[in-house]
Amino acid sequence: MKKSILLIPLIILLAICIFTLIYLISGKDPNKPPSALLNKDIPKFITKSLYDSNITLSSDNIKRNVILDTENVERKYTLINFFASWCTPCKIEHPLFFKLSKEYDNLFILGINHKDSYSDATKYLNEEGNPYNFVGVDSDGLIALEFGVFGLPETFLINKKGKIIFKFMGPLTKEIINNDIKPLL
Amino acid sequence: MSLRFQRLLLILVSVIMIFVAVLLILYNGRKNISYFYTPSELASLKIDIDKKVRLGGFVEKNSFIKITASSFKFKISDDLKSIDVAYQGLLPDLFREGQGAVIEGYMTKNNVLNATSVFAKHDENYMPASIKKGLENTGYWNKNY
Amino acid sequence: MSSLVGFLCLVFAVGINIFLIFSKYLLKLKIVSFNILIRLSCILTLASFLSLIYAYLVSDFSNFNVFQNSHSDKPLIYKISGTWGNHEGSMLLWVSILSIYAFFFSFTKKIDLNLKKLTLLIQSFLHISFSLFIIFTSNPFLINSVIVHEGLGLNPILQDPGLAIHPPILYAGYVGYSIVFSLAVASLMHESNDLEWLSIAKKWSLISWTFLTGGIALGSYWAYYELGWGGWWFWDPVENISLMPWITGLALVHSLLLVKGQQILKKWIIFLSILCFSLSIFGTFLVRSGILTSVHSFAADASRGLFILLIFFIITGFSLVVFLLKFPDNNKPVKFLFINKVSALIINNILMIIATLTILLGTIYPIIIEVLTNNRISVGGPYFNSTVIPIMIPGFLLMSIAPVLSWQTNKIKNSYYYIICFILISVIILIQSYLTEFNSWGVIGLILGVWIIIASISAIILSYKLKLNFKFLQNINPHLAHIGVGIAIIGITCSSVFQKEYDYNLNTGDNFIVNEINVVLDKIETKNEKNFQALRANFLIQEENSFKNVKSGKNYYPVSKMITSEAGILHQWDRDIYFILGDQKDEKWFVKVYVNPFVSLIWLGIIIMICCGFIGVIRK
Repeated sequence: MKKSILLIPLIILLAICIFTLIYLISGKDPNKPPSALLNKDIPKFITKSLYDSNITLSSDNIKRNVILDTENVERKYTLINFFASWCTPCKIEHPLFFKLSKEYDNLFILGINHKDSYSDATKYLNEEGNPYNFVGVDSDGLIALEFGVFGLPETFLINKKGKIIFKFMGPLTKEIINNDIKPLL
Repeated sequence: MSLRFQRLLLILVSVIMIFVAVLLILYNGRKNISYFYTPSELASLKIDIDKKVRLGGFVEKNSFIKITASSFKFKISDDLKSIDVAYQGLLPDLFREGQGAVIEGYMTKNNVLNATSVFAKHDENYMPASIKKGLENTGYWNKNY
Repeated sequence: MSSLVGFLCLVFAVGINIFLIFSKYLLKLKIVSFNILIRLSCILTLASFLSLIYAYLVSDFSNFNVFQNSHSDKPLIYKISGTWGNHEGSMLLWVSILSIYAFFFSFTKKIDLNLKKLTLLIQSFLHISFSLFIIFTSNPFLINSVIVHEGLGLNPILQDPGLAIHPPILYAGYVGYSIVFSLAVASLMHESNDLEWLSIAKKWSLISWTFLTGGIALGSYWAYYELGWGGWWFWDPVENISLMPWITGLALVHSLLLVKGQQILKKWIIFLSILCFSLSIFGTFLVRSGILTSVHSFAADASRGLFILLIFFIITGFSLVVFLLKFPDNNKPVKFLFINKVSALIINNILMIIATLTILLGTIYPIIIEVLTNNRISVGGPYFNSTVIPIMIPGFLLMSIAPVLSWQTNKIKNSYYYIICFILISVIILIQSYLTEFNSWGVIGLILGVWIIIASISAIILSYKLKLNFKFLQNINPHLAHIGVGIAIIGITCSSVFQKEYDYNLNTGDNFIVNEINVVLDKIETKNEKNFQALRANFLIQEENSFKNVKSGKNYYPVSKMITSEAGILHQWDRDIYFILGDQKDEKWFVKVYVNPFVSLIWLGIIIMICCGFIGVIRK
């Protein structure tokens, strides 16, 4: 009888560990509102090119998979990356996009330049290189609002039906690309 | 008093105390727990009017209205639905349009959330920090960061 | 360069500790060389920590951690405190303090050598687990992959002297329990019946408890004047987590007192020692995995959470299994008479454990509910106020009568005197509160607080001859600590129950009356400071013939584009008047004013408790 009382703390410990373990593995984060966008259609938007304001790109282009009229290749997946010249973590993930665009022909990488000036943005892309197939301008941050961007950088992966299948807040790393993004492509 | 009796007494006292504690927990737990919803969940559910809720989402752009210096109206949205919120009091320092916020309060009949407290979340990933000096001296008190 | 040195030092320290653990089975080390190795590993760990501080001092942005958390414009003190203002650095601080404790423990004499070795081995094991955690999941010595010339800055809310020293002191409290834990587990494994280790454990548990008190007090003082919410305790998960080991630590210190009364609850003490340190690790886990919703934000990372959860599980599970298997037999039955010091202490202990469990349940309840039902809930402050406080009240009542009780018998000394005193105080306070403002919680709190103080003072006067030397101070030390608790209870009761809140919409030049004091919103101005811009409202407070200035406002930090509130507080001994500047609309400013009576008593009471803690450590 005495020894059985001693089992109680062990049982409590086990219960606490199991609950927190399940919670951790399920990947819930109470500090962020749950993403309502995952597995939903991408929000509607139109953006102008950074380099030529006559060229525009809209969410319809992405849904139809014919992204730019000038290109012949049919792209099945779109990666939307929100970045800015003033955002230092963006600089860290920047080189990873070069590799990604080389490895996957069917991936369209769309960079959305968030709350930035033309001169700063072009200077940034000249210095760091431009891995994006298209750079859209979002100077007032409205597109970011549509996507519910929490902080820069933030990245969305969209499938051929125009649904968001992956979302990541913060700078991408090699591990995330290999473990989370590549299996989806 | 015999040892046996003493031990019995000790066990009795602790059982009574644990019993009281459990009663307190059950009684207070019912009253003081608030449920956490997203705007679309809150819009689709019928919430009792006097039930305390927490609502998490983003402060919708261009929805923020200052009625007086201490009473405000704004919308909390999750890109699908948005909920009107009325609040009286001090807004947290990090509260701004387009940022995440958590609102605690009660729903009223006309589907407005009467907020009792507003929390703004600052995410560590978010680095709006410009390292450039040029931005440092722009007028900042009027701008809605 | 400093990053490499720091990393290598940490790895070597782990190597030494691994060697020590293997040496137990392979070769018999002499205690002298054993001590030297332990101290060497401590010095290496400290060197690793110092090299991180150095990287922060010289703003070495090639270190990724420095780049993310520092900025060359920052004042010197915040560069240093930036070292532990982030996850990686704070974990390194954790391990450093762990090894400092082992360092000092290695000087302990009057202890069985095998027991000492075993204790240090357990300490080594803790060092290894947490160092591996740092090396694999949160290395502060990573090299930055891009070349940058400026860092990202520290959260301006954290740029505050109180908060700068808060983590080291709090950690000194948390980690100090590791020694008590190791001693308790070692004594179980060693299966010895000698009780010397209990007096050693008493010293270390008192040290940790004192540090923990200081750390919690600093944290809540910071919340009081920096968060601008008018209060100092919010039952935030992060606060609850620090409160749990504090309460169990209090129970531990008091049970160890029984050693003095020759009545030993060995099982109970061992169990409490395990519980204290387990709760400390669990707290670290909850904070660092970011699975709790808290106003203080911490970076969340599932892999880190898993790693600490594993460490927590192994350490706590192992110690509980050892406890189960080597459960000591009580050779001396406890003389539990109906009402004496021993029974009062035991009942108090039980109350404290129940209070801890209540807090634990409230803190992790949201996690359990979300796993089970997928609903996200939050447990608010009112839950804790209305469950924990009623549980603690009988404890405070026992505390006030404890000095009169005797160790061995059922007799109560001077009982009539005490009963008359108690009734007198209750009547005075009841009449006083009927005349001013009646609140049942307020009355209960005031009666308890005043009664604890009076009972302790009369116990000092009745049982000791007044002398003015240190020995006397040591003798009355426990009573002094209780007086501190009484003072703090009065402060807590007054400041929470009788807090007043006023809202104003004011033009500059308007005057208003708070608690019969005339206040003028004098002017509003902006100023440029070194790394922020300040908006300040100046309040003129008229006191008889003189004026006092209180400034309240906001700071804007351009580097991180953050705004922080700076509450203006007028400190008076009997109340704090707390001004917060809100928004502006049509030339009118929103001003919130709190009047918190007797807040200063809280801090006074806590300072007395901390001093008594240190005096208790010096004893003998």
